[in-house]
Amino acid sequence: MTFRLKRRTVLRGMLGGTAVTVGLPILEAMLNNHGDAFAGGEPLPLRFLCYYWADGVNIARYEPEATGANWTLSEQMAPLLPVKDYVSVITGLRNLCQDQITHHEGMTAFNGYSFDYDGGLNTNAGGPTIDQLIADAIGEGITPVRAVHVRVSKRESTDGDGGTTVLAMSHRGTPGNLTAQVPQANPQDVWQTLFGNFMPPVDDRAQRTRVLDAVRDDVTRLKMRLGEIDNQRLDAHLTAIGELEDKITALPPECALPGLPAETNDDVGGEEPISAVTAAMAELIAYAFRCDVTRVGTFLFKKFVSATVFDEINATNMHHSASHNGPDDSNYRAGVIYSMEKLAEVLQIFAGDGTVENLLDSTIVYASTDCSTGQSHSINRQPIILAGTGRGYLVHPGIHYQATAWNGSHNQPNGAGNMSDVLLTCLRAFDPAAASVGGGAPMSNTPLDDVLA
Amino acid sequence: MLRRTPRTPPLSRPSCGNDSGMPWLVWAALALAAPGCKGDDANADNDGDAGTADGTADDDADGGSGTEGDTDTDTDTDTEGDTAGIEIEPAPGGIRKLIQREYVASIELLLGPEAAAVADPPADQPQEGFDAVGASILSLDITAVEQYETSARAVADAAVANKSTLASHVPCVSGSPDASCYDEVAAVLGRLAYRRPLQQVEIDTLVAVALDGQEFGEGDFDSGLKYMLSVMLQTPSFLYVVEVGEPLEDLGFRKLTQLELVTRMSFFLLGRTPAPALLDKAEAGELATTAQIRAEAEAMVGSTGARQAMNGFFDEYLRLRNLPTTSKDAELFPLYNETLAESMRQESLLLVNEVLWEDDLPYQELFTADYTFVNDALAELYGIASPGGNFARVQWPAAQNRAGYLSQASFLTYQSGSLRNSPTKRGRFVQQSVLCNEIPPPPPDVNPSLPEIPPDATLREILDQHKDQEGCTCHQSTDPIGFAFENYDAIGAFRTTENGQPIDASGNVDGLGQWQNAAEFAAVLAEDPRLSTCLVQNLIRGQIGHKETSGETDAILALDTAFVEAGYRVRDLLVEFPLSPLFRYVDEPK
Repeated sequence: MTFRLKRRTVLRGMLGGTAVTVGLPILEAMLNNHGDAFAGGEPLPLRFLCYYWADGVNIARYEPEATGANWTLSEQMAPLLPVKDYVSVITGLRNLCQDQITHHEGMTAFNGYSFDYDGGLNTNAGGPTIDQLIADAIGEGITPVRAVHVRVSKRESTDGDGGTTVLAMSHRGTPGNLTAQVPQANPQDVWQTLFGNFMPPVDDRAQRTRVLDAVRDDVTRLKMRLGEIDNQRLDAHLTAIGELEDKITALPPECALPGLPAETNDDVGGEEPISAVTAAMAELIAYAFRCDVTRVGTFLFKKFVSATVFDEINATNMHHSASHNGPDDSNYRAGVIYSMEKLAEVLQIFAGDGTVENLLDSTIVYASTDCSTGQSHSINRQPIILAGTGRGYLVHPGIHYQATAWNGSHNQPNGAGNMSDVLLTCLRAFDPAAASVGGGAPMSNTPLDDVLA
Repeated sequence: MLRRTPRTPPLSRPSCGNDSGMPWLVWAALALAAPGCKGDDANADNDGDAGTADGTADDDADGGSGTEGDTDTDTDTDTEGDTAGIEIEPAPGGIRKLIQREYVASIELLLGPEAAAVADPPADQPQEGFDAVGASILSLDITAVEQYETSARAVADAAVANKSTLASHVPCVSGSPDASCYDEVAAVLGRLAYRRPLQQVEIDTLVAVALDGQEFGEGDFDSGLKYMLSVMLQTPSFLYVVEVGEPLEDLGFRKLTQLELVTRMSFFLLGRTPAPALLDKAEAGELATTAQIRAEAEAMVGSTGARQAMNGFFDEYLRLRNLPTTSKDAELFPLYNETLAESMRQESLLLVNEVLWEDDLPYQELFTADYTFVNDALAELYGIASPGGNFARVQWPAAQNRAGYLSQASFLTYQSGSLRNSPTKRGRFVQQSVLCNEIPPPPPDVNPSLPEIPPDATLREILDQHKDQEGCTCHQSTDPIGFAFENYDAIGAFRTTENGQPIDASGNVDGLGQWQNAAEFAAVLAEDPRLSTCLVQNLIRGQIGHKETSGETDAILALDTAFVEAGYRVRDLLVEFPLSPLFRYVDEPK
């Protein structure tokens, strides 16, 4: 199956120092009389980005004081100033994960399921994540790449924490039968995933699909000898083979393709080039969105309990370790602001410079973390940021929705409601008939309408 | 006598907050090491399980049916002796993906070093501390499948450009082969890649792809060969080790076929797909008896491939491979850089090499050695005279109270923070990975706030106050052990004071022993029976690919007994593994 081409003109731009061309904003002449779809009836592309930063916030310095439309940025949200009109901040909602072993339960913010406990500090994701539900809602074959998954910091969780919850933030499938979508850390690999197949040195796509057909036959034969769990694994393998074939045979988009980025995310003098990688990843995703190579992405800034040190701001401790020194630890405070700066930079790259399509008009960005107060791993007051309007779906300018006022305690934070409501709000932008998100206690069937336009 | 273990309920989840009575981790370890379990037929007789097999579970005539293309005729099952009296409920059979180093080493065997040099499989995703466990349970996403395709294409290009290794398996590829050579490559190389004979339909499929590729290449034989190789390298039959066995009706579980057995042996002991001669033996039924298996295992362990495989295992087990991406504060630790981190890794691998291969010493030596291996950079770190040049063996300075791996900079650095050492991380590694005790998660309502700390307090004093707080019982299982290494900072340099206060590295842990310093702790550790059992458990995880199950306990203890009787020589333990029922049998495919 090939994806449907969209009519685009091209405009020169820059990516990673390489001259490139990108699609122009959709022109009125291309739209129907209402301006809400292409002339051919296809809906305008709606995009979704899921952003994760780790180890929580300092509630006192993060949550804005004013609520509603007249909110102002807090100390730790200040970096979002350039894109504030596109941002809504949601505070005070509870994470209803049924169990807690520190940090793992926070990933419920991305799927609405409690984790499956697997002994020690090991947990597996309890259900599919919001990005995968949205990719399902968009449908197969609409774009050459179903979704792209990137990470910035390469540092892994130190010994102890394990399971698929730690492995990836995105999980595809159904509860009990999930495939972790392992994020890519090297921008050149991400480029290959998004654009590499459109530029083969030799056009042997027919032979490559023939090869994959033969591989598929082998998978099918092997399945007959195995049990349910391994059959599920091979089904995931088969699905991937089919999608790879679609990718190989997909026609290139009409926009010119970007050059290979120079950034490889190798340490420089033992330090991670976090800013450069953040920018390179955001540029790649933005380019892929504008070219309609994909409409869904996840952006894992840093894993929880990872050994990441924010060297660029001269941090003298791992961010996770700093979080346990207390909400006012200087390294921790600076690290949260730095995390917000990187989110802001991603959003600014999405907005563009006026010469390219402003993706914040067509994208919903859902950003969250794994706890409220990092020191105590509290999950009672989930920090959530929504950005973008999603083609007029979300309120603009953004608001501060506060489920309940903060009680002033870091160790006993209070909260109300269910944070999964926000996930359902996001999903309904892509699937208005979606009845619920998640399962068990964190399940939601009541979207948060307060943030809608 | 081989018996099926009665099913036992899974262990309940431990509660960290409950510190009454014996800590869960101690209970778990003692449950595993309980005396009187080994060969306890009375226990087996009480299980009410009528499904016992009289010594020769292998007596069923398993003519090789049921496995596609498998002509293995396993007619014997001499399990008397090594497996007698062992109760077993094997781990489930199924598939395990090759991990990176197995994939690359297998390609080198099949297609040569030039092809292996460009092999670039997706990164492994460890679970339970080992890549092989992740490879047994995780599904592949499209990114991984695409990377396998990219790697296969690169490998195939390199293989047709350098055909000497391929020609050693299939001579017809040299010169000017005609299309009939595709059949030979499919059958001969396919058998090596898939570790079993191919069915005709598989050969036909491979040849059809090759002919199509040859036509695309305007008649060029190598063009077709390249696409055929690309299929082989992407099929699950190559990418996954398939271990489903054949049913033993009386016992309800399954015995690996000889081809599956020799494949498991090769990956376990050599880290790569079996060589053609091994497949020949399996197909000829020459790996049926205990003596035959032992002889083959001894030959494998005596080869250089075993050194490489164990290097890979210990690199992973001891977290040595993580050192190059371990950060330290540059101002506090100016000596630390990527080069030093790599030297630390090599230092530990040299000790492993000395204990296992050069001197064939008891496993405990890895933890008690009064010597180490240093280059100039490490000598400077340790504050000892440099032997000059590259690595050389030196004695630890007696005043530093060091002994073995746990005193080496690799462990002390990786199991620390970027600013300071971490008794918690160090103790946790010893508990979880050296003694195989599971540490429960902290309770959700733990208050991690530290009390008022005097400015000149040592880290030990701070953590001691922390663990005494209500709800903080988890640290009681880690920190007292970690304090044994307080004489070494976050990159392993020796120190006698902290914050102007003298270091206290002493400890006294129930069920373990007491010590004054790291060297004494190492001696205590060396006496602990869990040390050797835990190596058996880690080899199951790292080299077979699953976390040991309760049904394997008796077999693990039997291996441990053999290990003890062999004077804790790891090489002897490696030879014993393929003889164990936990190695040769599997339960229904998962």
